[in-house]
Amino acid sequence: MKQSSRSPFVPWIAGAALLLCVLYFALHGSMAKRESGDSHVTVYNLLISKPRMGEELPVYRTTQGNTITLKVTSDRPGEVYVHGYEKKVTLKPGGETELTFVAADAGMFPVHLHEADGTMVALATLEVQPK
Amino acid sequence: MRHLPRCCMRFARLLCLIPTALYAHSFGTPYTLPVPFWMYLYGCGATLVLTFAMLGYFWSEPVSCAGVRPSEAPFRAPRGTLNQRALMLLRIGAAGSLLLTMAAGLIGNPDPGQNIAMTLFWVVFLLGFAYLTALIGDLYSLINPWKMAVDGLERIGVNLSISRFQYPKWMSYWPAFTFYVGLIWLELFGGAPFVLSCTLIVYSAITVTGTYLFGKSTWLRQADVFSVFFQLIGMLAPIEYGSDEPVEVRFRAPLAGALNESPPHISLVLIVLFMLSSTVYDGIHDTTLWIGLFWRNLLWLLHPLWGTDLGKAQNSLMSYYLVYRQIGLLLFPFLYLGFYLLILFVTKSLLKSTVPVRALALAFCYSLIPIAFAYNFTHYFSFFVTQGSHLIRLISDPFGFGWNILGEPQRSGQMRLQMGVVWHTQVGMLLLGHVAAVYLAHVTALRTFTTRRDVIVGQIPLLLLMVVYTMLGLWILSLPLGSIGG
Repeated sequence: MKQSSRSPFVPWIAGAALLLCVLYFALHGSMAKRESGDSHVTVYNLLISKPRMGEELPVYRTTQGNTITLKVTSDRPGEVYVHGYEKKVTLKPGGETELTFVAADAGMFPVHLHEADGTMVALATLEVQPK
Repeated sequence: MRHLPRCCMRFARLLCLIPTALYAHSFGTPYTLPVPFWMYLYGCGATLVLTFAMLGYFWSEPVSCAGVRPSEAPFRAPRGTLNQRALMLLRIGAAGSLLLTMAAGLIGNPDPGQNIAMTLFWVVFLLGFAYLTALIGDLYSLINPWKMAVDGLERIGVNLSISRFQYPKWMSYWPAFTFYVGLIWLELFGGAPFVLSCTLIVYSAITVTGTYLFGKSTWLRQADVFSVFFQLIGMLAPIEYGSDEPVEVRFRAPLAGALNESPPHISLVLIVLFMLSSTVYDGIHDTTLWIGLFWRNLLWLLHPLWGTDLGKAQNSLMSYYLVYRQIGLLLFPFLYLGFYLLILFVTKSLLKSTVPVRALALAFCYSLIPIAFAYNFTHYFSFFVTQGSHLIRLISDPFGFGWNILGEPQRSGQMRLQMGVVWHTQVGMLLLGHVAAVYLAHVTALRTFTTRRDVIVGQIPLLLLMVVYTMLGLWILSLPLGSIGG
């Protein structure tokens, strides 16, 4: 493209750039999701009991900035761990345990059960959409 | 997953339980959300706009065709020599890192997140150094730690410069391809730092044996996967290095490296296509689409193999599933190769050209490197940033024994990029790779075909291929991930 001085290089670049901008703003304006600025507190109930097979892994969808409370009822000891946020809570077997935090970062974060013997079991996925 | 029959759902769940126990603890867990639909549409639209704009420009470009070599335009590039001491330090750093990786894997903490081996090898070396190579050129050829080990052995009297056996012509780059497949297999399905260390030790033994048999220059050029990988990526860089010491550093036009050479053998074409397809496969194999394909569709095709009772067949089905996951990795590069050859066959038929498809495949191969690099970057850069931010902590405690060498205050959490930044970089980088690839294909067409019509018509099928590859890259970025939490 060294021969740009003699060829219509600039009009092609300018035309393409203009089209790209129009396309970007048109799609962004018409299709991007708008979230309200208010933040909410969302509570998710999580039950950990013996036969976990056959259950669908829940996906907790929320928006950045919301406060999340996980209410975990478990029949076994261990820790519930939210990866990425590095939040954890030690379970009380037979009782209810709460873990509350602000979903400050957007992304996908696995929620795991870490048992005392080192086993990790996927419990849910936390999906935080950006504001 | 919603449409899965109930019994399949159960297996899908079982599936979710298994990898979790094997998977790395806070290592390699993707946190990025799929690109939103409007951005996916924008990426596809922009790919078309850019492709047509470039094609239109090429059409209107007043240049003669045959034998044009833009990269050889009179361009007085600045040059210099690499400081000997700096080179020495880099070599010591490279060799030290390799030894540290091996040692940490062998004796350190088995938790991949706590052991420096995994971050040093997969993140710093294979991602970070690859991105650096695209900017500053193939520095790896100068600091290759295995080459240093071989040179060291020569210094103590083992002659590794001569070839004791003639390197078979048919072998060409096949050893490097095989090691590359093994490497990506280890990345996707391997795991523990210990396994990584053992692999590196075995690989070192193979390298020394290979250099002993066939001579170091041949082996390191054609069989050493890292040399081949970084050499391919270094072609995009605006800097090149001489091979003699003191090392000469020459500046050149970006992408010029990919224009001045073409692969000598089809196995190297396959390596470039594996660069593309392995990233695609890494992107696709954890999506609901790919997991569902097995449990929803393939399961019924395999019916005669497992009988009627799903409950009884669960163990064998799990092993089929593992085979399914792994076979895809090996299958993808050949699919990509098939598609690539088909497109070139169409080109040849369109032009009624006498150039064989094989020669076309070799000539146009390097024009795909920018797309392969863009795929890799879009797929891994957020992971590179996140996991790279653990490096200081890991240097402070390389083996995961609880040391604190640097006296760093304990920090929790990790660096994460804003999702908007991630998405825009992903789409932008794919588009940039696409533009670079289209440009390279055009210049190659100028050199390969003789008439102006042939140049333009001849590159249209290839442009189509690139549009498909780029859109496929965008599509995979937009796919929702499966419920396997890492």
